[in-house]
Amino acid sequence: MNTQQYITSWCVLKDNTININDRLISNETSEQPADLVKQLYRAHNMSYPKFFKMDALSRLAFVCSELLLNKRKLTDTYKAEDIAVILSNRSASLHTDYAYNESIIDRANYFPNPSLFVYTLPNIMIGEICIRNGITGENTFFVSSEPNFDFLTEQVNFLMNTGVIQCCLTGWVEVSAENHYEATLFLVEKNKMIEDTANFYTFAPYNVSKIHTIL
Amino acid sequence: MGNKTYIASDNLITSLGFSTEENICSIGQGKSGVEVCTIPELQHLMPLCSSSVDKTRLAKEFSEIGDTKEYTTLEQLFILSIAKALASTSVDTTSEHTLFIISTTKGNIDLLVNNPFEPDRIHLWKLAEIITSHFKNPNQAVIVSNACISGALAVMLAKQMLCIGKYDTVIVSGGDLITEFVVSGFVSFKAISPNPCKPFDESRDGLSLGEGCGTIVLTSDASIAKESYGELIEVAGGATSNDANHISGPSRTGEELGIAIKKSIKQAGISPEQIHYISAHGTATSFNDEMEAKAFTLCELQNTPVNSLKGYFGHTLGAAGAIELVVSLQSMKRNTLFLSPGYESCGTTDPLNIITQTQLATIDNVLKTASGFGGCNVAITLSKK
Amino acid sequence: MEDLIKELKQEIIDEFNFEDMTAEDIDTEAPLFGEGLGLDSIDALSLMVILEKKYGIKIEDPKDGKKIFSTVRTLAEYIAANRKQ
Repeated sequence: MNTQQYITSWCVLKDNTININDRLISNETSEQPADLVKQLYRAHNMSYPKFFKMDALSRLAFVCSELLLNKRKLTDTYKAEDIAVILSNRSASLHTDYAYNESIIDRANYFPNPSLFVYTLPNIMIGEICIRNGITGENTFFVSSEPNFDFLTEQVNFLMNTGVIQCCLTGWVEVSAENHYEATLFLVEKNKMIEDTANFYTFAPYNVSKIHTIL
Repeated sequence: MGNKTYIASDNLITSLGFSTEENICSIGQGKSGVEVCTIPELQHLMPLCSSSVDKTRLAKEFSEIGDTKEYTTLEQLFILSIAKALASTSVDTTSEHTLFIISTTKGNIDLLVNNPFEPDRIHLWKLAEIITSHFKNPNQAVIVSNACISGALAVMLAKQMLCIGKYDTVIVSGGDLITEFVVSGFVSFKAISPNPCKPFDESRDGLSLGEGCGTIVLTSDASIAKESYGELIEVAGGATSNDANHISGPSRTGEELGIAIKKSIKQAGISPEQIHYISAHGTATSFNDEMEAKAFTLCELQNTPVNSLKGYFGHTLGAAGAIELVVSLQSMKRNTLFLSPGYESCGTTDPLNIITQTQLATIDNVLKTASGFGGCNVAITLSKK
Repeated sequence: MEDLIKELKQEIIDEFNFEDMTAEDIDTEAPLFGEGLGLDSIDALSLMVILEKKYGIKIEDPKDGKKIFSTVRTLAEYIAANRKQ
């Protein structure tokens, strides 16, 4: 009853470099990872003004998901409610937690910032991806000290095998309190893209870890 | 693969008490833990109401199982609640077949301002490590932080984990504290009522925040479950969905919560009319309650008795789903529908059958829903077997 | 008034990180919410914080914000009439 799931597209970003499907290695370079994310947004004409209102974590997740999907509309292939977004990281929203906390440190100048507060939840980046792509299916955010790909593949493969979902955007999206960026995103589907020989990866822990450490 | 999920034990630590029994007793008497906030560090944010755990009692009870100086308040809360839930079971927490799932939104966020512990202590994975190592569990805990649906979502994940079959016991615990961080944020959202919250009521004007911990022990062994819980109750269905609409404002149609409800009921193998009671999210904000009423109506559940427990506990964030599921389970065990505090007259476009009087009723199947920031929704179906 | 309008446009650009925009790109008469700049309910709350922080104006009822925040001009006029700092 277990069928095989395939990684049909992936994207890895680490601090100031990015690799997409082993083909497109971005020419963009930058000292600051936040600037790289912005440059990628501009270079790939993502034209989504809301991007600039997002916090660092959501921007990172957003840009990586856009590059991974490469203008493909998932809802053309699947029902919106059959597509899942399952993400994980180490620091939750700590980077933005610190920023929000700045707005409530000084009682004499006390203005809690609502636009920062809303991003003090790590699953908001899942919401941003769902809004952009019209995805209404399963969504879960996990925290672990290191990427736990054994768990993630088990979980996603279970949902795919039992027919709960048909397609999943999953992986690791981390912005640490010290401003380190690390994202590894996968698009997981039941059908491999036959015409695309570069993408014959099954969604198994070994392949996932191999891609994660490519940079 | 294909194991089922049954309830073996539960515990609640909230403003209404330190055991499930104490909590249910208070609820049965119509007592609420939501009162005018007296927390000294929050007085600059008044007016607001809150539902707080008795910290003196927490420290006193915790000191019997651990050194209070070595644990944060939240860690003490989690560990005490789990220890109490385990007390009536024969669960071996040192077994590799026992898994912990920890649910929280902000964890030890109070350490952001003053952290006498090691720097990593603020991380959610560290919080989970502290808990599992207290119980000498060999497995890495699963930590779910999915805004206000976390607690109920954790129970759904427990079902998946047990179904996969690697574990035979899963301990789900959801906890969060009232902190200046969270309260100031909701104040900046203008989402807090100056009075105790009034879910689904015409005059509702925002939420009341709460704190607490809810623990549910789940097992794939029906006979163990029946013996330790008295009644065999299965987590029969569970699903999440996303509004794909707005990161803080709920859907205007309720369709997406409806998706999760329909999937969950279908998974349980029942039809909507077999649901005898709904434990809603009911935060008492104008938009949330309106959205939920629409979703229930879309799912043909508008006549099913429904309450929001926020009037008893306030909104306990990552603990809410776990706490409210425990009360739902107790409703089933006691065949009792508890009144929905703060409700007087219908305040939603689609009218619902809000429970206005605590009463006996046959309850075989229950639907628990929750919705949160990021547009997430969850629906859990519980069934007596 | 024109100085205040320019100042407000810059405040909006800074608050919402509209990095690709300059004050000249924002139409004084265009709606701030929905179409136009596309601000949303959280942004309305952020505008309220700016009003309080920078101009000492406190809007208690979020519903009042709707009229005040309809365009940069209505916002500027409200501030000019009510500012305390």
